[in-house]
Amino acid sequence: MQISPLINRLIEDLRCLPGVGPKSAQRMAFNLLEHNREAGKHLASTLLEAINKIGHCQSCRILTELTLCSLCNNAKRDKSKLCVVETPSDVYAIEQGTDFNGLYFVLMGHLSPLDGISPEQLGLAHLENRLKIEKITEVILATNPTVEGEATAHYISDIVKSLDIQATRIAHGVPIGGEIEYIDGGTLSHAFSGRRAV
Amino acid sequence: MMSGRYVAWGTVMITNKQRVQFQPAYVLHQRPYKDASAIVEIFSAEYGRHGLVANGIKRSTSKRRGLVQSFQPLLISWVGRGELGTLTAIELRGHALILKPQYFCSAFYMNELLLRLLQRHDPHVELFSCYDKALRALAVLPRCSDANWPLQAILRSFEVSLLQLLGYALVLGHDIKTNEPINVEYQYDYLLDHGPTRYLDSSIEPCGVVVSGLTLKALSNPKELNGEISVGDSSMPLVFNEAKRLLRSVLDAYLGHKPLQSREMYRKTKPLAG
Repeated sequence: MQISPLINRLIEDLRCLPGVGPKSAQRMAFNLLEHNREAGKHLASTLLEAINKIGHCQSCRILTELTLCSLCNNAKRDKSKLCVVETPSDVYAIEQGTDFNGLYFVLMGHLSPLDGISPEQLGLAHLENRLKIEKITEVILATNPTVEGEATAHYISDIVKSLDIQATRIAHGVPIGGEIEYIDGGTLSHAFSGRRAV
Repeated sequence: MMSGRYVAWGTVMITNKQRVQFQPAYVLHQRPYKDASAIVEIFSAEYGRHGLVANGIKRSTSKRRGLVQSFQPLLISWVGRGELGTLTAIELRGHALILKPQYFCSAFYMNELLLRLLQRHDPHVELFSCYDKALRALAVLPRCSDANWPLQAILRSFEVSLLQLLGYALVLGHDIKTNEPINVEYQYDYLLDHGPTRYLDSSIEPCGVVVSGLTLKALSNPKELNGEISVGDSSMPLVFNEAKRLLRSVLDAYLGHKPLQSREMYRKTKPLAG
C-alpha cells in the first residue's frame, strides 16, 4: 500500500532493530508521527550522534565515545583484576548484577573455528600486551558456557598462565531458585564436576 | 517415521512431511537465526547430516538452550519438509560428555570434516558410530599428558574410517603394482587416488607421499593404531607423523582449496599449549 512512501521507508528502516517485525515497526512509526514527534526528533539526533561518535575503548574495547571508557578511567576500581567477557552487554550484566570492582576486556565475540573467527579478530594480542604492561594479578574468564566460549577461555588461560598470572573461570551450574529435577543433564554434569567443599 | 499425505484440491498434491522422533544425534554447528533462534546442523544416526531451525533457543527461558551444544550425545526430534526441518524436542542421550578444553580443537576438527565432506540427508549409520566412539574416547583422555599419541590415534582412526565409509578408502594392504602384501621393512610412495608402490630409489622425486610399511600396517589395523598392539615406542612418533602427513594429503584432495579453519586454529594455539 503506497499511501506514503516515506512512512513505508520509516517502517522498513525500524525493522533493522532486533525483535521488530512489520506490525511493531508500523506501531512505532505511527506513534512517533502522531503523538511523539519531539521524542522522534530527539531519538534521531541521538542515534546519529551515537553512530558517528561511539567507537571502542582503547583499553577494554567496550563501546564508548571516549578514548578510555569511564570504567577504565575510574581510579577507584581494582586494577589488579581483569574480567574477560564476550560482548559489551556482558559488562552491563556483570556491573548491574555483581559487586565486581575490577576492569574488563571485551572480546567482541568468541573463538569459532567453524565460522573462521580466529584469535586475531578477538584482539588477543592487545590483551596480551595489557597483561604485560599493567599490574594484573587475576584474570577472570567470564566467556559464555558454550563450547566456543570454553575453547576461548582455555586459549586465553594459556596466554595468562604463560605470563605467570592467575586465571580463574566463572562457575557454571544450577541457577539460584532452580530445581534440580528440571535442569538439563549437561548443566547438571558441569555442576557436579565443578562442586566445591563447604 | 515418515508420513505421506494426500491433499485433494482439484488436483492431487503430495506432501512428504518427515516426522522424526528421538533420533540419536550430535550437533555439528549452529549459527544465529532471527532474534532468538538458531539454525543447527546436526549429524544423526539414520538421517545423516540435517539442518534444523531451533526456534527460540536463545531466549533465557528456553529449556533447550543448554542442550543444543556440540559434542553432546543427544536424542533429537524434528518435523520437516525439504531442506530445513524444525526442531521439536531434544534430550540428552545418556550421560553428558565433558571434554577437556584442550581437546576442543580436535573435536571441532572432526565436526568440520563432517560438515565439509557429508552431503545433507545422506544416512551414515556406521560413520555416526565411529564419530560417537571418537568423541567418547576424546572425553576420557587425561587432562595433562606428555604423549599426544592417544589423541593422534583417535583422530587418525576417525579419518581412516571417514574415508572408508565415504567410499574413498585408502589402499593399505598391498603394493598396487606388484600386488604383494605390505612389508613393514620397506618404504612406499603412496599415490593419491591409487595406493602405495614400493619406493626404492630415494634420489628420485616421489610422485605421492612417502610412508613406511609400518605406518601403512598401523593404519590398516585400528587396534594397532590405538596402541592395543604395540608397534614399539621408538617407532611411534614416526608412524604418527607419517600417518598425519598421508591422511592430510588424501583429505586435502577431497576438501578442495578452502583450508580447514580448525586446523588453522590448532596451528595458532599449539605454540601456547605446548
